[in-house]
Amino acid sequence: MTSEITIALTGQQNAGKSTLFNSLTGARQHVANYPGVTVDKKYGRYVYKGVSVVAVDLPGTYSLTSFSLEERVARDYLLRERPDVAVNIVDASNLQRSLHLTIQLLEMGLPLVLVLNMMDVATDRGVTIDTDALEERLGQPVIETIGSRGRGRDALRDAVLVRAANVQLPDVPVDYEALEAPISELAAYLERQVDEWRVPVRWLALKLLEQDSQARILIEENAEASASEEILGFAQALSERFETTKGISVSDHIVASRDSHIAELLDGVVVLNESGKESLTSRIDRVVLNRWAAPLFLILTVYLIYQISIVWGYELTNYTWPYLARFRELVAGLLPSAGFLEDPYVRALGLWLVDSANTLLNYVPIFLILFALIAILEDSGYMARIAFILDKVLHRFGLHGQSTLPLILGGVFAGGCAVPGVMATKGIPDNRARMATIFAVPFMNCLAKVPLYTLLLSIFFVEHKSLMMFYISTMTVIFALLVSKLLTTTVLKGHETSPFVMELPAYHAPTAWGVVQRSLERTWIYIKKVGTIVIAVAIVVFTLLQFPGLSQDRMAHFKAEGLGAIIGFQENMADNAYKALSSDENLVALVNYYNDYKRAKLNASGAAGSKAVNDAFKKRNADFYPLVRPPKGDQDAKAGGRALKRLVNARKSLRREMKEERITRSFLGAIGRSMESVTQFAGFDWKINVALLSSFAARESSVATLGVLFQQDEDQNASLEQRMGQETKAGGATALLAASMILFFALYPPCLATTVMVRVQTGSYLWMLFSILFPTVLGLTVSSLVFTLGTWMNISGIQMMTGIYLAALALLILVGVLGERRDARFDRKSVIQTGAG
Amino acid sequence: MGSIPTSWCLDMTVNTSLKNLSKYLSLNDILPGELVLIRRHNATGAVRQRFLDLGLMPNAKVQVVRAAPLNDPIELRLGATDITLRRREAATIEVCEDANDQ
Repeated sequence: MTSEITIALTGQQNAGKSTLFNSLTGARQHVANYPGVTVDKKYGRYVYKGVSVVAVDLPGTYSLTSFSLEERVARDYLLRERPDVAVNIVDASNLQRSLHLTIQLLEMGLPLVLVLNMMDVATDRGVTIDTDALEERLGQPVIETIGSRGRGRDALRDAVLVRAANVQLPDVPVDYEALEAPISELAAYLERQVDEWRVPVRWLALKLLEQDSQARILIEENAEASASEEILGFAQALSERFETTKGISVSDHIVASRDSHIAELLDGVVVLNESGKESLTSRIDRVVLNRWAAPLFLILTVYLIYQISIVWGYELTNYTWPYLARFRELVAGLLPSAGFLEDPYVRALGLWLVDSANTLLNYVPIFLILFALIAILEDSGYMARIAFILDKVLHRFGLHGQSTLPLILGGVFAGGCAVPGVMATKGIPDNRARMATIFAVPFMNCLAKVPLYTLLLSIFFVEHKSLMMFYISTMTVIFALLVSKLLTTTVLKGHETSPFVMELPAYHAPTAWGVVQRSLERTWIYIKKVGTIVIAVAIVVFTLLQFPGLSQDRMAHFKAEGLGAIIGFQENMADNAYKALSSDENLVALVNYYNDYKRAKLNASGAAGSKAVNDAFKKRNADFYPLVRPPKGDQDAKAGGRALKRLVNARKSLRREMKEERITRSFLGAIGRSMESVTQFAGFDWKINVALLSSFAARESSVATLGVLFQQDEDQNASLEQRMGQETKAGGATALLAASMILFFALYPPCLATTVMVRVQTGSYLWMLFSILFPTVLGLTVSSLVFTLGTWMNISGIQMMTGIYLAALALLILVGVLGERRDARFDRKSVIQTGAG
Repeated sequence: MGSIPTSWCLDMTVNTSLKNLSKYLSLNDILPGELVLIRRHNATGAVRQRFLDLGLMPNAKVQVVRAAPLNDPIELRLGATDITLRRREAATIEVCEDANDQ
């Protein structure tokens, strides 16, 4: 008999639930969203002893109230989907606290397997647990595991099968004493009102007495409108009567009863032999969280992340890039070949898409490393300490200690990506701070902003390169903090806040599998989310750049010029031994062959690679080959080769002129020009506008678009830096314009992929629109200020940059100090120190 | 919190010349290293639930371990667990000195 059962993993965040889930299900996992909310639903599958088991990893929760989204999601799942077994994973060294959740699960009538995880940590702490006795008192199977080492996995799998086969439901565990009478009264009343409740009636009665908001919804779903009103009224009356007669709120009474029940359960079961030895975690923390050492450790950590993932990761891309280049060649070979002056649209679009995708894929090695390091930080327990250290600063500006992770992912110093950054805001419990973090993360330096910075710095700030890089990387943090302060005191003011109360988990070594898996998972999300959007926008931008295209007159002009070049070539070849190659049929193929050869030679590395290219092209067309690589002493081939080179160059400059005219006439060009009236104050001409517009698809394209706009004749072989330098400097551009561009780019709205993520995380298109408009206005204001003021006062780019930097820093300090004064009343009063001592 | 025995706690009075303070010490007033008992919370709703979830229940024994480098938040030790919370929230938790510990 083949059968399938469903199990749900529940437990607190730090009980090692994810590790155990991974070890149970292996690689066969899927992540989805619970309907309507942004909480991840993780599920996996395994087959054990002929039974197929679907395991659902519920969000980590401390209890199952309706105060937090995660708890509501977990509870709804347990109530509605009714898994065959609820696997309750608890931290073995912390049973007294953990069993509160266990009791709530039992009261929901769920068949349970209790897993005492992290037994090794418990043993180290001198905790011994009589598992058999606990199992007997609880009436449910209890299993010991060490998730990080895979210990106890099969025992757990066995216990799950046994529990699933046993239909007996758990008994009511806790005696609520004085509350028992109201519970039975309400339960009886509920049973009279509705024949069949889909949830345990005693549990429902308890929740109603607690005035739980979700329980009310359950009533409204299950009972007629009139009946549900009566029920709710009755429950409220009972609950109020209890509170007035007993002088304690129902929920406090429930917690107290459960706590004393748990104490009875554990009496004699758990023995604590305190060795008197300080735990490893508190010994580490004494150093790592030391008031003076903590900032140093933090800076060291962030520096290591930066060095390993960004610097070394960038070096790694030198090894991966050739594969992407080869992929482009492969696609180029499959697409219809290029024409003499105009390429088929399929080819142009195809290559445009591959280029767009490649720029993104190029970052994959960096992200793999970055995400792995961040997983290590999270799993080891240090991430929570970072929140502890930084909460004061972040809170002062409306953020939260837990905003640290999103900001690091977004690229605090130089390099990150706002997409995973915005995604990671999910974990911030304070709603207002979460919203502020969502809008602050895109100000960080995403990896794709770096090429433009580098480009502008090497044209305009050669002497001040490192100072400028310092300004850029720290200014973004300053702006992000100021913006969050501004937003939380204005548009976000009405948003709910919640306090910073969290556990500092014990340190433990992360498992390699867990780290690799999380890194792969997050990178994949990056590729998927960013990839699809970038491709879609690349198509739009391509269309806007291509159409309406050249006028017929101009087209005729270019055709005539092209024909002239061809005739010139054919005349040169008239007396040549290779005359046949210059025939009209051969011409386009010959020119493409020449270009392909040159490009292949450029990509080939070393003598062996170069020889391989020669062989491949000899094989591809032996007739053409002498013209691209004339044999020794063959004068005709040499002359033919020179003539061909002239033809190719003539073609290239014609194509460049056509492209420039096409962009100038294009829709995007028209939009860029129409924006000049506003952007002129920031010093941006239409070409820069076009580049900034296209960078909305993905930042990478700004440099690419600038490359097209400041095109060269390809034989010129000047770098984009030199070309842009010549052209813009000739056009009167200054370092001031560059400073204005850099500032705009630093404050510029997030790329489309990020805004889509903003939409997902805020659940609102309005906020998504806000995330685009607000930075645009801010960026344009700052840039206009820099450019107009700088031009008027006739000061240099670096002076202006320094000025802006110092002004922003001063504002930051001012805001910080003002906040300090307001918070002072919560600082420990010195009077108390003497009073309590 | 009527059902929680706090009689010895109630005897704990603070120098009344300290004005603007509640009659009891709050967790915010405790120096690192000191061990105290939780008397009651003045928080409500989600915050209260969070405290209870983390084991910050009346009668629980809590040690203040340290303050963050910038003095806020603070770190508490409760059994085998380390918890961090801001001073603003710590101020809502009334505590008294652990009589058994003296």
